[in-house]
Amino acid sequence: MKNKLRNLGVACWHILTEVPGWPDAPRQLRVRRLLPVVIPVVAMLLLLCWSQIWTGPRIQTVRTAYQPLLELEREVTDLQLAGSDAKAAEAASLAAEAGRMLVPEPKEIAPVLTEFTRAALSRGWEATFQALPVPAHAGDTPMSFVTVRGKLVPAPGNAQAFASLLVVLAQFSPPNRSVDLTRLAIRADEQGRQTAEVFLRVGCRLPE
Amino acid sequence: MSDQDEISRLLADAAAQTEAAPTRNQPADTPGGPLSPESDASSLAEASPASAVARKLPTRIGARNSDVLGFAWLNGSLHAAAFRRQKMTHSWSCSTPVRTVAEFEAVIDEALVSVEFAGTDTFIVLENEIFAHQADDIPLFAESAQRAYLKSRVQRHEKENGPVLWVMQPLITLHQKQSILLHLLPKSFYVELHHVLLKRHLDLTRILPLIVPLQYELNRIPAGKNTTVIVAAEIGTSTAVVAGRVGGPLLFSRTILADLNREPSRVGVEVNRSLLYTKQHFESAASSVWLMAQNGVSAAAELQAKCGAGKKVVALPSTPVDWLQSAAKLSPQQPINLLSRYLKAKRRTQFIRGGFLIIAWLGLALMISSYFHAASDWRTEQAQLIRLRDRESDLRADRERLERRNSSTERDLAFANHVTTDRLPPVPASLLGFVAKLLPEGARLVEFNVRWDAEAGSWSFQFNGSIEADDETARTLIAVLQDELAKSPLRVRFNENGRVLMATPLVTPGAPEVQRFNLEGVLFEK
Repeated sequence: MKNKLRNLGVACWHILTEVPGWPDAPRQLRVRRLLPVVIPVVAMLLLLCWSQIWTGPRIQTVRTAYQPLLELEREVTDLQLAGSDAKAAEAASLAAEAGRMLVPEPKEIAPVLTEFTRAALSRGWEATFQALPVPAHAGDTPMSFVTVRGKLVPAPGNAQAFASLLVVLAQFSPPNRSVDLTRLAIRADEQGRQTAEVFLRVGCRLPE
Repeated sequence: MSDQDEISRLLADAAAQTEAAPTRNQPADTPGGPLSPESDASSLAEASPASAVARKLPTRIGARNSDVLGFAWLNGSLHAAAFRRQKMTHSWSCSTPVRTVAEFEAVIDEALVSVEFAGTDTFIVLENEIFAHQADDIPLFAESAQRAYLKSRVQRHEKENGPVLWVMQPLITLHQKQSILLHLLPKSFYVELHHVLLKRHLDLTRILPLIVPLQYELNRIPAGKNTTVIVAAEIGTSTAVVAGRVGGPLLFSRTILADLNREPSRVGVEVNRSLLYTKQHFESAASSVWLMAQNGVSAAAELQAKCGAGKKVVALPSTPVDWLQSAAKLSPQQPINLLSRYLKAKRRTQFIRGGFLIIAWLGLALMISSYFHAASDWRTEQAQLIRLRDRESDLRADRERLERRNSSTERDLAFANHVTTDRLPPVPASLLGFVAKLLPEGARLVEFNVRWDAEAGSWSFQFNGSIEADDETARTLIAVLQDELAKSPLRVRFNENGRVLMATPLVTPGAPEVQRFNLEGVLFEK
C-alpha cells in the first residue's frame, strides 16, 4: 500500500511537472512547470480558508445578532399575510350585523316577548312567556342564550287553531332575530282543545 | 531571462554534472522505464568520451516550437533534416561514417547547428547491424492471442539477447497465415541514443525501421495498383530489398550486405533471387525493379543483365534525405514505431496535465466568481440589516397593530358565525305541518313533542294519537305514515322499540274500532 501510494505520487509528480521534450528535466525546471498547477490550487485553498475561517464566522455572527430583528420582520410579514384591512372591515361589518340580531342584554328580553305575545294574539292564540335564569357564560363570543318558556292556548273563537298555530310558531323564529324554537309540546284533550308549550332560545349580547 | 535561455543554462549544468557523475537514471516516462545502475553505467561507458556540449538553441519567439528533426542513420551513413509543417527547411549529411552512438554524439551538434533546429520533437529512421528484423508466418489469431504469441516470442528473444524495444509490422496474408515482420532493437542501444539526445533537449518520439519510408516510396511508384514490384535501396554499404504491391501489402524485405555501387553484380544476383522467391512464394511475378540510389544508372544496367530482359529495371535517384522527407510526411501516430507506446503515454500525460490545468483554473475562476457574488450578496444583506435596525420601532408598532387587527377580525368572524350559522332550523313547526298533512283520514293526534338535544346535536320527537280502523287497516295506515316520514326531507328515523299500535277497548257496542298509536324517533336534520 505504501509503495503503491509512493508510486502514485511519483506518477503524479511526473505528469504534473512534465517538461515537453525533456523527460529528465531538472527539479528546478519541473517545479517551474508545476507552478501553473500549484497556483490555482493554492489560491483555491486560500480562498476556502479565508471563507471558512474569516468571512463565514463573521457573517454568521452578524446574522445571529440580527436574528431577533429578522424574526420580528418575519412576524410582521406573516401577520400582514394573515389578514387585510378590507377583510377586517368586512368582518366588523358582519359582526355588527350579527349583533343587531341579538337582544342587547338579557335584561332587555321583555320587549321581545311582548312582541311575540302580541303577534300570537293577532293570530288567535293567547301566549304567556317566562324567561328562565341566564346560565353562566362559558364561550369566547360575547353572547349567551336565554331560554324562554312559553305557553299558548287558543283564544276564544279561534276556529282554525291548528292552522294559526303553525303561523305563530313560524313568527317565533324570525330571520332577523337570534331566536330559535328548541322544544314544542302540543296536547289535545277529548274535546279537541289544544294547548302548546314552547321553549325558545333567545340570543343576547353580553356586556363587553 | 526567457524559458529557453534558462533551459539552455540548465542543460549546460546537466552536461557538466554528467561529466562529473556518470550515473544518471532514465526518466520513468521513457519506454525503458528506470534503468539499473549497471545498465546505465555500461551505456555511458560505451558512450563517447567527448564532452557533452549543451546545445545553444536558436532564439525562439514562442515558448513552443513545432519543428521536427529527422535523422536517417543507415548502416554508417548519417543524415539529418529539419522540417516545419512537413516541409524540409534544412538538411545535413555526415561526411564520415557513423557506426556507434559515441560517433553519433560526436557529430550531432554539428548537425543541429547545420539544420538550425530549434524544436524538440525528433525521429530517427534506423537501419544497422543490431536492429534485427525477423520475418514469420503466424496463424490468424484473435488480436489478443496474437499479442500474447508475440510477447512470448519477444520474451524468448530477450532471454538470449537482452531487453529489446519491438514492434510488429503485418505483411501479406496468405493461406490463412499472416506474414509479419518483427522489428527488434536492443534497449541498451536506445538508452544510449536517448541519453545523447536528451542532453540536447531533443525528445526522441519515433524510431522507424527503414521499411517504413521505403513502403511510402513504393506506394508512390508510377505503376498500376496492386502491381507487384521490387524496390532495391542503397543504405550505406548495404542494400535493402523490399517486395510489395503498389497501394497494397508488403510481401517481404531483406537486407543484402553488398554495396550497390561497388558490387552491382552481386546485388543483381540477389535481386534476381528475390524475383524468383516472389514468383514462387507469392504466386505473383514482380514486373519491375526500382532502384533507389544516389547514382544508380550504372547499377541498373548490371541488374538488368542479371534479372533478365523481361524485367523492367528503373533507377530512381533518391537519397536518405528523401526518405526522411517521406517519413516526415507520415502521421506521428503511425503504428510501425518502436516508441509508439511512449508516444501514447506522452499524449496521455499531456492530456491529463492539460485537463488538470483546465479544471484547476476553471475551478479557481468559478470559486472567485462564487465568492464575489457571495460578497456582493452579503453587502446587500448587510445594508438590509442596517435598514432593518432603523425600522425596528416601526416594525414593533406594526406588529402590535396587526396583531390587534387580526385578532379583532378573528373575533368578529367567530361572533358572526356563531350568531348566524349556529341557528336552529324551524324543525318543530315543519315536522308538525308535515305530520298533519300526512295523517290518514280518521286519525287524530293527542300529543306531539319535538325537542332539540344539544348534546347529541339532533332532534327527537314523540307523538301519539288514535285512528278509527280495524287493527290490520290501522297497521297499514301507520306503516304508510312512517314510510312517508322516513322518505321526507326531515329524514325521520323511528325507534324500533316504540309502541306502534294498541287496540282501545270498546266502550259503546257497535261503535267503530279505535286503535291508539305511539311513534318515537329522531330527526337527522340539524
